[in-house]
Amino acid sequence: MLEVQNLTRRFGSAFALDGASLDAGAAEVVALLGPSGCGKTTTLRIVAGFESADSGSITLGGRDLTRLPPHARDIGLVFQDYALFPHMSVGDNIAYGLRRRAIPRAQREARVAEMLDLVRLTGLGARRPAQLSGGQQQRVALARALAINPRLLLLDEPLSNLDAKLRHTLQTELRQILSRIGTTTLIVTHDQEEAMALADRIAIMSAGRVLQIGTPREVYEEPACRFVAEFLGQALWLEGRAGPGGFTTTAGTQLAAPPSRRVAAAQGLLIRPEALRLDAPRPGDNALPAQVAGHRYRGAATLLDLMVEGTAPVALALPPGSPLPEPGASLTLAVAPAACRIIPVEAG
Amino acid sequence: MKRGIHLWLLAPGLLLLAMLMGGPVALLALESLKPFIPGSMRPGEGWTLAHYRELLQPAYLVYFWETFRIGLIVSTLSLLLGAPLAFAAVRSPRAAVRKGLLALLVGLLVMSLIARLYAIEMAWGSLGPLAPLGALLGFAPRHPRYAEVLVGIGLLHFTLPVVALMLVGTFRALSPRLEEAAASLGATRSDAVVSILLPLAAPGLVSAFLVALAMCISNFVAPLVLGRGVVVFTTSLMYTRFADIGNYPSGAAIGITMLILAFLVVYGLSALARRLVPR
Repeated sequence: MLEVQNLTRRFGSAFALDGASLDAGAAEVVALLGPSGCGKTTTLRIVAGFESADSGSITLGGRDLTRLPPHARDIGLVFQDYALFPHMSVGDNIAYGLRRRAIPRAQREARVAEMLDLVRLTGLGARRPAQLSGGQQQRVALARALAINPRLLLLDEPLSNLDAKLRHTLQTELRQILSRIGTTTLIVTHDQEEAMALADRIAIMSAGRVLQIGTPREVYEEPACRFVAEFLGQALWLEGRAGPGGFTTTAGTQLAAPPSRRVAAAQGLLIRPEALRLDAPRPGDNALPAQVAGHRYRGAATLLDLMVEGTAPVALALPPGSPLPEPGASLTLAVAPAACRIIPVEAG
Repeated sequence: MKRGIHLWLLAPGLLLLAMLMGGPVALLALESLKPFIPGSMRPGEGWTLAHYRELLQPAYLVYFWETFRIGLIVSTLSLLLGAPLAFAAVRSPRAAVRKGLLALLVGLLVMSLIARLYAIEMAWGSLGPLAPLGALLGFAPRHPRYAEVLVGIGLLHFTLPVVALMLVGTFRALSPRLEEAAASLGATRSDAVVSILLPLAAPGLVSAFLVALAMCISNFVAPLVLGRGVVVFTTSLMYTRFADIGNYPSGAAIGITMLILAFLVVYGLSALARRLVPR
């Protein structure tokens, strides 16, 4: 449906985009995830038509958008700050795109009512945006973008302006709305939890390039490179080299691991902290010496900070009531070989 | 208690305002109601509306008409020219354009109006190098309308930088996201300007227009330097009454009349704007 190929964009001598490519199928929700400055917002603005790429192309449903002005692209956009028209009622905001398309009044009003129902704001059409809460404004922005039945929906950090609790509720609701309407959607976010919760596939961006695009499970469990591995969730990353049947860390620890699926000159070993165990190793388990750096009480769990071979501490969540090793204590961690992944340092 | 303190804090300002502005205007209003005794600086006894009645004669009405007509034309022009300048100074993608425009506007503002008026006179006056251009446009330098155009240009010099700088503030307060949202919903550039930008900028546009109008109708030097006696504003008339003839009551009556007229225009235009753009 959406194909973005090889976008480059330079600001002065710096590359904002350095050959970014991604795609989204019909009715698919794709999240563009990356740290600030990675080029995800620039990508969104180029897809929307507010900025132009120095090279590369964008096609939507077979139509080349690259040279089209924003108003001819048929793309619905929800801005981070919502950008609701403050001088218009909620209903007029939602009807704005319909008026531009010269939809007859009766149809327009029916569509506005339908959209208000969809985002659960029935009856609030006469209000001004300023009279609504942040969460309600967010939903008006969504209704306004969806009213025109766009071929593509773009969401720019859709939930970042809301407080944590509301964000959670709206996340679920947004997911339901997106699957109900079945519009191809591109979400730009820096929040990995949001990306995992909303997207069918996640594109991880860094330094103007898409490093990996895949399902949440793929990018978390089979990251394409060290950056992706460490950007998503917590990662214990060990340097060393891959050999037959396993991995030898720089400190000399031998760990059994399945062979890497990717070919790369330099590789490292990724272990997610949730795979680490404090109990006695079972037959076939890897044993990994570690030191306790400290612990942090978090209510539902206590986080045990562990240092392995001089790495930055990784936190292991222990259930309440678990015996806590003293800070400074040395212990041996058990980890199944299947949980050890040999990963390229750089994306191929 | 707290409220009382606030009011007391206002007192010095209010007192100053009363002494510096309210008092003199009140005296002016009283003066305008006194009879004039020719040859005497002191007004006569009793009260009269003669000076106001006098202003209703066609010969005087023309002055008011001319002042407001030229003022309204120049204010409209400064809005039409100033709005795009201000918009470019806020939204141009090139930093050099934004900074250059702001520097130009501030530069115009700080340059003495007298100097600018004589510069216009030198350039466009009957001996000026640009006078033939005026003739090409259909105005011989001796044509009375020519003086009017020159006065208009002079006033525009005065109002344009002020209007543009005021609108810079107005446009800065409007998020470019709003126009982008309009564009993504299918609005062309001009459509977005009419449906989003203008309504939201309307209060700022109205204020800028009213300030320009106030600057024009109270201006004295532009008609004096460029008007050649053909274009005479009520300000010139007032000056003659006060300074040349010494008819203070009549000068005061013109001043008070202008004040009332200006209030009516400001009020009328604001009400009109509120009507056109419901908030």
